[in-house]
Amino acid sequence: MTNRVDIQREPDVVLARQAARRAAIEMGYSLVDQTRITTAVSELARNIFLYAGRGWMEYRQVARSDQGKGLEFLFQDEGPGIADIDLAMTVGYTSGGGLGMGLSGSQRLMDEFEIQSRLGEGTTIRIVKWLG
Amino acid sequence: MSVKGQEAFTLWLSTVQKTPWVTRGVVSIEETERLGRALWEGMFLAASTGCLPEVLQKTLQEISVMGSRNHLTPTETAQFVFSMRPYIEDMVRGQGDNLFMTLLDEAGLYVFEVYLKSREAVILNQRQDLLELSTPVIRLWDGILAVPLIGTMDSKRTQQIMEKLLNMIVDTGARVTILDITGVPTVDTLVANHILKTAAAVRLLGGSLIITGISPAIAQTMVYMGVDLSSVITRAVMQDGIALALDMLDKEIVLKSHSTAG
Repeated sequence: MTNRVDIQREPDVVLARQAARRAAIEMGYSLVDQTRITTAVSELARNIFLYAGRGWMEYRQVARSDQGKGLEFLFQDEGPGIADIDLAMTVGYTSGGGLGMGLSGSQRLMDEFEIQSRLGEGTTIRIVKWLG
Repeated sequence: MSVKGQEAFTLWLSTVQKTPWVTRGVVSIEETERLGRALWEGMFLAASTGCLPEVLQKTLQEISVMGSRNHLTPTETAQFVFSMRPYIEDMVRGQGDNLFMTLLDEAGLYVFEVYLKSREAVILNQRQDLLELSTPVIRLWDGILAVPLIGTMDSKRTQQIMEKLLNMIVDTGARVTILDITGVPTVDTLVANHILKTAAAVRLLGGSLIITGISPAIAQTMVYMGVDLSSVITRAVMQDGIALALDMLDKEIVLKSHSTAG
């Protein structure tokens, strides 16, 4: 089953984070993994609010024969898109006055991280944490 | 209203009177009749135009708001509308009954939707209240301030806390401030950035900032993300923070017997 959280206002970032934590607890992730998942979700949900204005997060339980169960999150927006993904992923680069570690940090916190973006069309980011 | 219509209407009203609407005293019997009549007539008006007219929408809104305010469930609330079905069915059999039933469904769903929206508005307000819970800046000791952060540290609120803290530092001449984040469930790069900026601003005012209450899980997450908080003084718990703050001011807490003996 896929769940969805719309992100339109800043408090929605909090809702996305809470939903992620609940899902992680339900699936039995360790406290450290719960914290990693919640933090990555917080970064990516906030990016939607900051850079695209609005979008949504979808999440669901996934399974793969070699990895077992996992939690997958999809972040989608129809914002301006990212011109240079490599640059955006660079540690310390920011176009919004932050620390410039949100994207790269989220990648390091999760097991899988995929980003697709088209200028003027929007950005999609998929992250997965395996239960291991 | 035709005689047949009046009959059906009366029968329906007596059914409504057995629902939680009346049994739980949400509306009086007279009020039920007024709302029921408006709804009944509105539905027949809708049947002649093919859509829900504005006057009917107003009645439906009134029903939703009444239901949600009086703690009826969404189903119980929509029951007011859906309970019409068998009585209407009898009346319009063979003459546009499909259209009528579709409109009745639409009206019921409309009640449902308005109900949910009014609930959402309540939740939004509560959420806002929680976000705006004010954070105290505590004078812990002469020259030492403490700020226990609790909840989410999103933008506006963090800004307010920072301003309040900096003003207090100037007003009290405090040299050390302890910022405790035990009550902050998620420390992402935004929160980390706020902490770094607060520390820098406090330094500019000639003070020092000690961060306490970083949980082991948050510490590991910060390291994984590559966030560098090494420019900030940190201690595991508030107690260690207080000890360090006193030490920085050349003060210490000693046992009573010790000090009287000396």
